[in-house]
Amino acid sequence: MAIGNGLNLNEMLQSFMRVAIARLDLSSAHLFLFANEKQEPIHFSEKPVAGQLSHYMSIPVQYLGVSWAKNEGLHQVVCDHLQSNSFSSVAYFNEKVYQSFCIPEQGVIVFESVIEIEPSIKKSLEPIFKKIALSCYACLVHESLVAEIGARKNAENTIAHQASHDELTQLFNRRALTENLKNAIDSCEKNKKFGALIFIDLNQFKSINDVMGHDVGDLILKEVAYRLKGVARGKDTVARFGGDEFIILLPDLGGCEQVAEQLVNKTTIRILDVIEEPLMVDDLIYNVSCSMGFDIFSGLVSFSNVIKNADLAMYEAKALRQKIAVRYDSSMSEKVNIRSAYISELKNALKNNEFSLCYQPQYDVSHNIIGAEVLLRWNNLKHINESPDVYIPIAEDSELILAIGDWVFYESCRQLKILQDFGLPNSFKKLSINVSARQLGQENFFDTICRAIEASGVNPRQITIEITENILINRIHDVITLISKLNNIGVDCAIDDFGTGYSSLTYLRRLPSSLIKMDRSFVRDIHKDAENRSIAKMIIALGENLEMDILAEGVESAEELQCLKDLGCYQYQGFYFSHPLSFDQFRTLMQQSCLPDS
Amino acid sequence: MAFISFDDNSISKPSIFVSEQSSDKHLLDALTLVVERGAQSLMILACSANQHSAENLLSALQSCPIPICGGVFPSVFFADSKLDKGFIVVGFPFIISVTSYSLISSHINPNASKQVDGEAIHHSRDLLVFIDAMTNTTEFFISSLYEAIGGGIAVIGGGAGSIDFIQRPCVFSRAGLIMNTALVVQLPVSMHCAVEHGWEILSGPYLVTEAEATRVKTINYLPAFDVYKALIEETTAYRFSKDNFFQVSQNFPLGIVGVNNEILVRDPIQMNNNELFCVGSVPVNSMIYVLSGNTEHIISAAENAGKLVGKSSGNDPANSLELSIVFDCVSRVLYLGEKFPLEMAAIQRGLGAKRAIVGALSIGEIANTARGTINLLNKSIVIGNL
Repeated sequence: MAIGNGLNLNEMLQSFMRVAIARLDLSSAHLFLFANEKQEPIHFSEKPVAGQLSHYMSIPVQYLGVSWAKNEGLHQVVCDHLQSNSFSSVAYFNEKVYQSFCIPEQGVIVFESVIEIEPSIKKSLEPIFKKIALSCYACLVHESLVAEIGARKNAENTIAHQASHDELTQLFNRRALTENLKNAIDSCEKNKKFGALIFIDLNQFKSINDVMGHDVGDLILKEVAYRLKGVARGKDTVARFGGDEFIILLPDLGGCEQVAEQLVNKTTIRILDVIEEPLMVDDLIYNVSCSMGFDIFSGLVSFSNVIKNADLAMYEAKALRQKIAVRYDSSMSEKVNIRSAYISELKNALKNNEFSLCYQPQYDVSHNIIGAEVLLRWNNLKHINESPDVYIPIAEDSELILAIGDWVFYESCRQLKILQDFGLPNSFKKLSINVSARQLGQENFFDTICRAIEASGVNPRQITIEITENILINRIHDVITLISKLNNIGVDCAIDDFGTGYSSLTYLRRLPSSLIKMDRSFVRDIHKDAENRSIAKMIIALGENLEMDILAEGVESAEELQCLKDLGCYQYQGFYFSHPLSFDQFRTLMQQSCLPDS
Repeated sequence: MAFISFDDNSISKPSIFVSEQSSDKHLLDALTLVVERGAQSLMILACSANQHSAENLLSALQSCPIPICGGVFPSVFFADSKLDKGFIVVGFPFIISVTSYSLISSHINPNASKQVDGEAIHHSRDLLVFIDAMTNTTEFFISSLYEAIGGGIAVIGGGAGSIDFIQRPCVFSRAGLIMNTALVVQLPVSMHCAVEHGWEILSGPYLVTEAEATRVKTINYLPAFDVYKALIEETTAYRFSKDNFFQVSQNFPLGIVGVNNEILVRDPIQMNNNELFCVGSVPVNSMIYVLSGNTEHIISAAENAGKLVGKSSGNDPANSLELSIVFDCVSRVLYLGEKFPLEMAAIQRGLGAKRAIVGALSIGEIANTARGTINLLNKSIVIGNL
């Protein structure tokens, strides 16, 4: 009998049992193997126990419509055989002979026949079953190796997949994109063809994450990824570049640049369509939009430049707030270069102590100085006339705003301490220092404030930090916690540029802030502009209800002042009262204000 | 062309229509007549000489209101009359369940136990099998059938086809007259069977040292034909020449002896490159004998088969259709020649005069062995009593 020619346990045993049936004139053959909890055959070298034997196979599978696996008589034969502890045993029932044999350390085989197998033949079966046992063992080892190799292969495939795919969206990751882009550039160069890379950034996605949580954000990203895949052709690469940024690489757009651009435009229109299709997560509908930029390449270009260019074009589209994708052109790089140079100059300004503080005094209805807002000035010949509105946003786009913000706070504290030491008028209450969103987002912001106060020895009760309404919208929970902590050490808070954002009144009520600064846009020509008057009236009423003071910014004329007074607003700052003053000028003003006749 | 029935008024007995006409039309007319007489299912045994056209019969068979089974065989017989042309139509007074299986190699499930759906076959119903003998998957199918249904079910059947060994449509079903098919017919009544062949050991045993399916390559490590030829020529007056292999080998089949001395006959029908080609597989390492027969023994075996089946069925006419279905190997006709009518008479003697006997000369017979397995037999006679 040919045994062990194959390494598939089932096939090997099936083949053996068929031969046995034919050659030993059997009616049927049944195999019980030692098995684990999952009923998988095992090699079992301990003392055999019936409970560990499992019906493995019967040929034929049934008798009179009942599966042999359920035949109690057959199971009893096997139990009795195990108890007999011998190589073979015989049982008789249903006018048939059941001869069971031990397959060492593997199980028991039962042969059903009409007459008992001759003793000499039985004896000759013993070495055969030993060989079967060895073959079973070999098959089991082989199968476990195959399973192990399979598992390893699966693990390798998983690792390979993970190495090239984004875990959340299952799109290609940055690494795979880079490889595909390199190949696409090479191919374009060889074949004189054009390819394109579309950079897609979801607009305001951060707000979704902040407001609805990352779980919802992740589901939206997955849905967007799925939709983008639907837009792509078979040979395109759709990748998640990071966060809410996606890239579609179109590797082969033919040999004509114009046609290539048309194809890209068609693709971006489809991308826009699929992304702007409202998407539903947890029964809520979200409207997502995106900004897109793209670059067309034809070889002889580095992959990093292609990505950078498309990214720049995307930023251009975002800045222009336009839906249509923007194609990269070299002027964008120039703009970036200029911006980079500007940032460099800002860095040097910080290093070379080119910044100074000036003070915009704040007055009450009786024209008493009640405080001042600290403003930043850049004392550089080239930039002396530039408003902070020019360079602060640039600084905010880079990490530089943190260093500048820290410097402003430290310097403000230092100068306020000097003023406090010289003596401030009784009417003077607070010095307002602006704080940017990035500063607030720093984990150690509170500690920085504390250190600055401690280092300067200033009385913190005369410090107010000004935060814009827009910061409130984006991180209201964090801000409430932070302001509460600042309140505890005596630092107050004012809401700047109020009216330009969409603050939730519920949150505003919970905010431990004592002052709302009405944005200058509502103050301008308030005496002539009924709409501004209505808004101002509403803000003043809101302040009264929330027991918060209202300070009008940008008061420039007596008419505006009178109108504000009439509406019930009694705190002001603006050119009508004073232009921003240098520290020395402000100190002089303070000293004058302290005089009894002032 | 005539109806033969035991009791015209009884709907519990089969209607049997025997005709020596060979045309498709005659066959279709006969089917209509039998259906009109109230048959609930049909069995057709037709002669290959009829040359029935599958195309002509297709639409009539497909629109037949009752189940159909049957085959085309070298000859058919009723009682002691052998027809080399014509057909027999049996109208059963019960509904049979017919399942057909494709035997085309590419349709075969390599896992034998899954080739036949055991659950589709009712465990208490005995089976008739009609199989295209010209396929090379016949034995595989028979093994699969047993592996699927198991023991305790009586099975008889025969290989259909013609003795020119050219494959043609040879199995009747409601799908038409088709080939490459095995038809498994479940009977709602019990069937008692017997198998005999009458061949006896001439010499042996010999060890099959090399074989592949039906091809015996070496016996006792020597070329199979050399061994076979030598022992026949040494012990008998027969001599092999260039072109008389078949004529000689018909008298000396091989026999595989089982542990309980049951002899499974294997008919060597061809010799090529000193290898013997048999009808049915010969396993490597099996012990074989060369068998011989004599007319008397062969015929007496046929009578004995009749007696055996009569004994097992109890010969109780009240619980019986009084119908015997016989598959007799066509090679027995070749062996017996003019004496074949004696075999038919012997069968009838064995079964008793009251029984209707319908049968076919088959190319390979199918039956259970004593131990229950289903085998493809050669040079044998199988009888099923309903």
